[in-house]
Amino acid sequence: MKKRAYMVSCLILLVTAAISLLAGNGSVSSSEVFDCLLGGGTALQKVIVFQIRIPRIVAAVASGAALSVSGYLLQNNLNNTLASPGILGINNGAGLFVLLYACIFPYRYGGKCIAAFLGAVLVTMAIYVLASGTGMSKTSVVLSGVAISAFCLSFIDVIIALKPETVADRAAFQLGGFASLSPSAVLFAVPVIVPVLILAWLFAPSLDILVMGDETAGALGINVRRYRGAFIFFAALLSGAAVSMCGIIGFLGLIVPNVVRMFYKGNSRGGQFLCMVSGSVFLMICDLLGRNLVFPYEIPCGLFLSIIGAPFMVWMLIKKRKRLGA
Amino acid sequence: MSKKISYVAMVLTFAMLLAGCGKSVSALSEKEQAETGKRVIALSESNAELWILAGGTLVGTSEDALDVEGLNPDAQNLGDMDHVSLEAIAALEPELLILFETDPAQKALGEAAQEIGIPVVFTNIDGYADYEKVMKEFTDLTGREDLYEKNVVQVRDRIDSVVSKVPENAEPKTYLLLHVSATKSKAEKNDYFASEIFNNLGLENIALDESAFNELSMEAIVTADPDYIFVVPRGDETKARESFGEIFESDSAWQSLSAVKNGRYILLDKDLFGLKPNDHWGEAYEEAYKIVYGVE
Amino acid sequence: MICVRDLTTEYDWGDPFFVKEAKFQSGEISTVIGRNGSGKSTLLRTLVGQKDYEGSILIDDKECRDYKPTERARKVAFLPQDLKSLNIPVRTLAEHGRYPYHGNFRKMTGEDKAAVERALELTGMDRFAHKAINELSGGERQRAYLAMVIAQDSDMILLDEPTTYMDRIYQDSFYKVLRQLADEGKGIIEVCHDIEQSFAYSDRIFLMEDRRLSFSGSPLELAEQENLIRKNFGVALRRTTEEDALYPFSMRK
Repeated sequence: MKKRAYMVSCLILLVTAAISLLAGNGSVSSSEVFDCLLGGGTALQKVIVFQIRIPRIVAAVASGAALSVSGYLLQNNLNNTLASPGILGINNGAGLFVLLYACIFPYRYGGKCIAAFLGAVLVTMAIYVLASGTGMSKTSVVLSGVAISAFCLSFIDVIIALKPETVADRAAFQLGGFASLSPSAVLFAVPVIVPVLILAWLFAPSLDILVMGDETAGALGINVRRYRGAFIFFAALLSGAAVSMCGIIGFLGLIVPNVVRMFYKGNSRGGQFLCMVSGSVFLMICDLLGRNLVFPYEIPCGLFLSIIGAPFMVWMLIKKRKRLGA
Repeated sequence: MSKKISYVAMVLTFAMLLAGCGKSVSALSEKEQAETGKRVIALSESNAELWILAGGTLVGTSEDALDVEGLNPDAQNLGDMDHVSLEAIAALEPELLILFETDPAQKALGEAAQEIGIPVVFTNIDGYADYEKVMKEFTDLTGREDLYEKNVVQVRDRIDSVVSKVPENAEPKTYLLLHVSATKSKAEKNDYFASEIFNNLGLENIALDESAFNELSMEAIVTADPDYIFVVPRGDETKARESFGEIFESDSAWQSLSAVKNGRYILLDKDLFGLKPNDHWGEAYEEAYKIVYGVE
Repeated sequence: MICVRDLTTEYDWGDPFFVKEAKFQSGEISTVIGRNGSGKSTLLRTLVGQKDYEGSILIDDKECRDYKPTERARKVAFLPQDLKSLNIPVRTLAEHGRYPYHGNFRKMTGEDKAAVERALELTGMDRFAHKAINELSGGERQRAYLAMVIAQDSDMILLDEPTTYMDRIYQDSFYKVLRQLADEGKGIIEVCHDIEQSFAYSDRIFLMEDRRLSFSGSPLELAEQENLIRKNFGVALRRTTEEDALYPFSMRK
């Protein structure tokens, strides 16, 4: 990818972030945001800008990038354009652990993000162990994911059946968003996301090799099992950290890499970068709309994505079918 | 063979129809039934309590209602309130089934029960007025006007006396009412019964909007800066009490609110403000008054 | 050069498989022939270290399993049958052939770039350099992957049925490229089903039969083993003397 393309995408990211920061919704107007940034503004305005709006934008950028790159890593790794963090059971794993945590420490919201993160990562480890026991092929990874994911889901149902008060509103639990974002969750997740994004980007050339299949990749001097495991682990860390911050936002990890692939044909370095930027921009826009359209209430980002995501998936399937000529 | 089956089926259907007719007819003569003790099933704690407050007894109820005060010990446990089998209900030969209108599982159960001829009453209590209406209906059925006097008229008097103490022309204070579960908190709007209590005491809910959406924006909360934050726990109350405050103390945006700074965030009693208080409605008003105005 | 001695390995489904002795020379085109399931692909995969084995495979006097993966990739290149349809341009694919040299962290050097350009030229894919792999026909895709393997610039190049989807003209130019590479000192090991063609272009032929290597020698030597040919291919091969014959050996009933 050319230097200019990197510059342009960074610029788009910055402009979206600026719009997102400045867009007034009745509480603080654009000029007041400027005042705050320049050190002025009332105490109330400062709280809104520095403790609510900026953490939200940071969270949207970080989780948008994390989920999209996570999807990109999985799709290339497993050579399946319909793969996304959800198929690894990451969402259900995180959901299960948040529920377990809530049963043991109810009303202590502070630790929720750590529980979600642990859930995502531990479930991925379980999948990894199961898959590597069965050859670590792409199919065994996907099937292990489906199996473990179903296991988590049934466990979730058991908990909800036994302790219905744990999840007052199951739909809200599954539709992630940033309305009840706590700055401490951002402080926990962003330090996980940023280094993993950098690592994944540095190791991008081996992802390019891995996508060619086990035989070709092995012949080009890659330890296929080790690298496949590493990228799955990266994907789990990224989406686990994102889920811990914003709850379950499905489809983002599926849509963004596919859209990127439609416009960009090239190696993983560029692909990952574009996923980062467009995932961030996309989630920021969803969040911007979600918090302004029905102010003082909010539409969760997860809802937007589900509305866009399901038809997108159908369209992808049809497109794929056509290309196969079936 | 198939002829035989259809014959049996016809006889069975006819028998069932007869049985159904029999019950709905017997439900008509209410006065008579009240004296002999009506066979009633109420599902859920709240419904069981209403019927008992009206002086009735129950042949069956759901598991959550088993420790309702005044429940006759021979009432049968029918299990979880949303998963009661129609067969178990029919076996008790009820003459009246009391269910929640707004609970989809109970609504479906009620409709099925009506089809096999069991009379059903659906309750839907959003505020005090609904309580009065249902109690009127129930005490009429049981014929216990004395209990209507005790559990409704006297309660209404207590409420009126609390409301009359509210200082007039005072600057209205604002509040935010959070219903918290173990994983999530939700701002209640004015359709919640406890909001009605605080509104009648001269307070103003910042979650006024009749929006279809439920998630109140944090920016909106900070901008509105309510004078009080009331918290109603769902589920385990003692654990809620233990970790109460962490919700506000762990987050800098919440800390900026004057209600938090002034210590005006209050954990409300779940029995008065989380579940419909029924005959304790007066106490709920008194408690709320004490919280807001500091004196009895 | 790859020297195999007393090699025992397994098919993916567990049946054992044996090679007593074989020598794949640098500067030669060796062709492995045999019926379906006779172990040709398994042999190639074992030679590039993708299967566990007993016995000895010496790649330039060092045991195959003792190589580090990238080090081995600089000695032996391998093109499997299953070539993925990718969303990257031909040039990028060819650049992937340089992975064993630059890994994840080093930049492409001038030498890397030169190797890529030469591979694209040799395979005639320089015209398609900007086209994406998933927009190519099957034969073009095989040539694009061949460019990658050539860019890898290893001493030995192992190809598993590389011409399946190529038309006649492509196949001819493909074998010319192989010959050129062999003349430069590369050793080529190819699995092929077209016996006329492989007898024409190969320096040495290896026949796989019943889970073992049953014959190796020059095309002429093998063609004289009429029974062996007939048993494995159902035809006979004769040397032709006609001037307009396409190949030096042709199939007969």
